[in-house]
Amino acid sequence: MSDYVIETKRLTKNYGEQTAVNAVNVHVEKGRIYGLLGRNGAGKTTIMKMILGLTPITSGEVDVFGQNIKGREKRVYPRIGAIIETPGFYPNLTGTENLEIFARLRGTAAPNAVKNALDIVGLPYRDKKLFSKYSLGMKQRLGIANAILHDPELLILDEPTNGLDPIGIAEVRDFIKDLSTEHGKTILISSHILSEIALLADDIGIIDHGVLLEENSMETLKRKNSKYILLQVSDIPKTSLVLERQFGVTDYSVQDDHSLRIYNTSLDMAAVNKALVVQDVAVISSQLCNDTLEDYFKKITGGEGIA
Amino acid sequence: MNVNLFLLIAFCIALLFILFLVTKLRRVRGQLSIIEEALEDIKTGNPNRRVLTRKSDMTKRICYAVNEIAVKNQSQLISQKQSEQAYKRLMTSLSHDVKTPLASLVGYLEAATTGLVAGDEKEAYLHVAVEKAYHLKNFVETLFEWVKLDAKEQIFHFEICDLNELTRNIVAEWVPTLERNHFEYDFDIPEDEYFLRIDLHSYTRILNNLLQNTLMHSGGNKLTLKLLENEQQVKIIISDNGKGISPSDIPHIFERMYQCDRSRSALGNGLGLSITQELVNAHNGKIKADSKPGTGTVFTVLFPKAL
Amino acid sequence: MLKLTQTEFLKLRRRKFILLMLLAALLMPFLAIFYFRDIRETGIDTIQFYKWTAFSYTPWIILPVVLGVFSTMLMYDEHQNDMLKQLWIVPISKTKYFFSKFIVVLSYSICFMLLTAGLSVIFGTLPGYITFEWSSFCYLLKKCMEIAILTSFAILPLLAVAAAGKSYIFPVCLTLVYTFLGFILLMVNMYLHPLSSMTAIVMRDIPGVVLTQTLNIPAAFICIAIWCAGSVVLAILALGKRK
Repeated sequence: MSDYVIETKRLTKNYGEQTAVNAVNVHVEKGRIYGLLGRNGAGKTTIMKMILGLTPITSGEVDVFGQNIKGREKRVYPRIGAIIETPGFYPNLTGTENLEIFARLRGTAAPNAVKNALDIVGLPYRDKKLFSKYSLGMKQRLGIANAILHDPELLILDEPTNGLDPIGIAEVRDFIKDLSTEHGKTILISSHILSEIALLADDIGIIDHGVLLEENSMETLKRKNSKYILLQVSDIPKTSLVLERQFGVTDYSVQDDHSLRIYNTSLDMAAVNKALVVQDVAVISSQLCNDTLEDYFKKITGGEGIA
Repeated sequence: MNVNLFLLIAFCIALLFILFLVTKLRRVRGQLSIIEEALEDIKTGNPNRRVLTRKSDMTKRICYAVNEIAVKNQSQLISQKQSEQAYKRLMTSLSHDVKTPLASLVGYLEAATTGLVAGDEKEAYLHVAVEKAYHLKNFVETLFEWVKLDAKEQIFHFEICDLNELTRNIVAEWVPTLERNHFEYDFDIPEDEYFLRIDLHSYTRILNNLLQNTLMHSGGNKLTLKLLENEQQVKIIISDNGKGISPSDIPHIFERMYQCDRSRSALGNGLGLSITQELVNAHNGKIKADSKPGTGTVFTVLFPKAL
Repeated sequence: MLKLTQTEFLKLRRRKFILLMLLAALLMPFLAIFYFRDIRETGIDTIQFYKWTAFSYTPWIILPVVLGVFSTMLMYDEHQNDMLKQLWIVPISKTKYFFSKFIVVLSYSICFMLLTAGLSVIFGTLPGYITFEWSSFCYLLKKCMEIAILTSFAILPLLAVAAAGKSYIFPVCLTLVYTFLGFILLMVNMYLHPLSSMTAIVMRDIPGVVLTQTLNIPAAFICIAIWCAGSVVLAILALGKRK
């Protein structure tokens, strides 16, 4: 039994001629939050469906809790809670009645699980409102309540903050973080919103056009982002001359008429400043900068931004 | 003919009944095997495992109990991990707090003894060294006091005292310091006697800490101290007109090592308010802080009359 | 399985239309009042009365249509809201899911026919057309149960189609087509269409019924069985195919 709660090996999904997911190797470690980041249509939901066994796999393998789900459904599914796409419920029943049905079908871990789940997501217990009258935010919350109803070890959440207002998004984010740190749950969450993943995930997998471009821990990613010194000067050519002749710096790039980036961050900027002043170049500003995660994402997906 | 039919029906009913019992037995057996698997998992260190049960199952109570044990186990593990982390953080910051003044002290003393400075300057250096030594002594003493409180090893001697008389004595000693720091003061201590069971040393410490805190950190120039009582409790209110504490800091000021003014300034240590809170709690009392940034801060300490 | 069926019934809460459809059981007994008005003087045979109210158009047209619409309604909710994937990960097996739906249809069918039986008796005895006899009443009940159970099985193909599709309209239209096809094929060959086979089985021992073809009960059962098996396979494959 490996330490990975979810491990996929060359997971592929083809719809006829089209490849939706191409040889993806995802590794979700126990007790951590794994963020699957990608634009809409990149293949995140398809991957999650294949992990859950909802969509047949064209080729490759998925192991959950160290084994294949097929054939062990009754043992494995109760340990997983999931939201895939928009959660649907019975419109002629109230939120509580809906959850009671699922509680009856699955079983629960504690006697008043339905009440607890509703309290956690902030929905009223035994309320008279029918599901058909729920707002989008309430529907999403009920979906989350259903996913945590049986206190599962693994949560697979497909865009859980979809349709929520900013306060709701922050609440769900705090709640997911809490599940991981206070309760040690393993969480696989997908999103196309970079900022959300950056705040939540411990590990991140970047998907684009069905290909897993990179899989790394957030710390590594943050460290990896190039640091550079942004120098704004009055005379770019003279500056580049000074850098190359006097300091032997070749690792720099000119951004525009007045600014350039020096990638050698161990350079002695005091000396550089002095040298430039001697050459009659005015230094407007000099600061240490970091590539944001967004820039990094743009770089590895080939230039386009995030939806 | 009728008897045969009757027998046939009776036979069918008996068969159905047996079928029902057999299914129930198989179901219970299945559930027991799941419980066994889950228990094994929990034993090998996965406290996140749950056993799901329905309200009508025979094994319901066992399942709920197993889950409760797992939850307790898990929260113990997690709080252990958290306090280990908190302890590590504390140790790191404390080592800085001791190393920094010590390094500086050594610096000054070395300068004075190796003849780097002479005469008046040498005198001045020695004075600074003495002050730093006192500061360090203070810090180490406070630290040990705090550690004793935290480990619940502090011994209190509760005796009945007149709080007002005690307070008057304590604040009287503060007058010179307040005047020296150009602090206006207004002490509103009633003439009658408020008898209360308290530990003398602790109460002195509490008042001293709060007054010290106001003097050092409020940034104001007026201090008010007022004592009130009602049927159940005695209230001590210490307020100032300083720069106040922002709403985001207020919940944390009583935490150990928390300092609002992020520059670890030489005079404060983060333990004063934390110690104060522990001491107040030992008396079954409550302490809280209210503040409006720019206007001032009010500390309220409540001691219940019945201990 | 039992739990699944229980929840199926819970899901029917507040669906008033389903209760309203039961009123269709009122139709034939009510019309009987007018139909038999002219011949009441000559005395009406109880069995003949029941034959008209409960064994004629009811099993041929009314009950199949009602059950077809009911089946569509049962399947519609979950398909409309894309709830099926939430059910699969409980886990619930697709076979058990389909069968629990069938049990609900069966129960509804039995309720409907019991209501028909009751109303037949009431609308027969109150205006004084017939007298209440235990033997004929037992016969009525027996026949109504047969009709209820067999029709549910005969409707299984429609349940399968409802399970496979997403829309409302197609299964309902198919219900009407299916029912009338069954009715028409009754004259041609009773063993091709499940509804016709059902009619054959029910009609086997009703006095006063003339059959144009030879009665072959086993063939009728086989016909129904084949259609049912096919529908079950179709349904489970279709449920699996949904993305």
